[in-house]
Amino acid sequence: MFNIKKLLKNKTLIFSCRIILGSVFIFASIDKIFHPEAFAGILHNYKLLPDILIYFPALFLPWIELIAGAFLIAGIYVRGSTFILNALLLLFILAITTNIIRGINFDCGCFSTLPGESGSTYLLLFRDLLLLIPGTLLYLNYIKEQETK
Amino acid sequence: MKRTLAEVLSILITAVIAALIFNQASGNKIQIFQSYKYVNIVDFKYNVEFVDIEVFRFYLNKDRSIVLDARSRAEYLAGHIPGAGSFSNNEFDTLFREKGHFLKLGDIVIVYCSGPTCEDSGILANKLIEMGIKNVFVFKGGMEEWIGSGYEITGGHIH
Repeated sequence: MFNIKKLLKNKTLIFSCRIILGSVFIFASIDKIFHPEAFAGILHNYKLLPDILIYFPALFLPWIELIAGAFLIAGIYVRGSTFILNALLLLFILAITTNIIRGINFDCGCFSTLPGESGSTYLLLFRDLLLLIPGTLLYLNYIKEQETK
Repeated sequence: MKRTLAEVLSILITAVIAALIFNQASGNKIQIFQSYKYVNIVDFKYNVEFVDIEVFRFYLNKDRSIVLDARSRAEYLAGHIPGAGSFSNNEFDTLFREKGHFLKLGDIVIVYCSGPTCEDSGILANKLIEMGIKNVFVFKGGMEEWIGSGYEITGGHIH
């Protein structure tokens, strides 16, 4: 039987989750940090935000990914980083699902501002759902730590 | 929960400060308090997406980007954007037979013509998409915006 409590006691697993999730977000942020204008174009094509609000996430979102990812790996503000990265994953899942339902063709902009890097939108969704596994484990781990205090 | 929220706030503040400092120092600076500048979406007439001059410049010298000049061969020879290849609509069938396989190797194909109101780029982009080329975009400002922005052009030989 799958025992979540036993799983959360495994320090190597929790450490690996931090490295995996943190690295993915750091890697995802770099290209967008250097090309905010191109990332703004990608956000525009998601058709979820009014034009006046496009540049805010285009500028700040990659930095939030970078800082939270780096903090998670470094062990600084781990709870806060986990919370933010999980929230971002849920946000991405929501955005992708919305556009799949609406039938809108878009570039992911997940790891690069290069148009067409995304591949299948269903694959994107699957990738984000997969990343929620380490995110959820980390979150449960900190709930457990709080309970034991 | 209080501690988590305090950490979240600290991370967000750090990220915002870092982003603002980097944006000030960056060559690709953006103005956050303005509406998104370019209509980067499907034109009512041609079913293609547009890229603005900044995005166009970004891809111009990338290894796996292909830039095509959709104007006539004579116009191309008179002056074109450095790095662009001639791909006139009048010679589409011949050119596609010769270079179609090469276009399929690129990550992105950007097409332009004389300016925002010319139709050659839209027509060429549509033809390329119909032939199965992926990631075809139009630099809508074309030569007019390129020259108007003070960027150099080159003439002479055909790529």
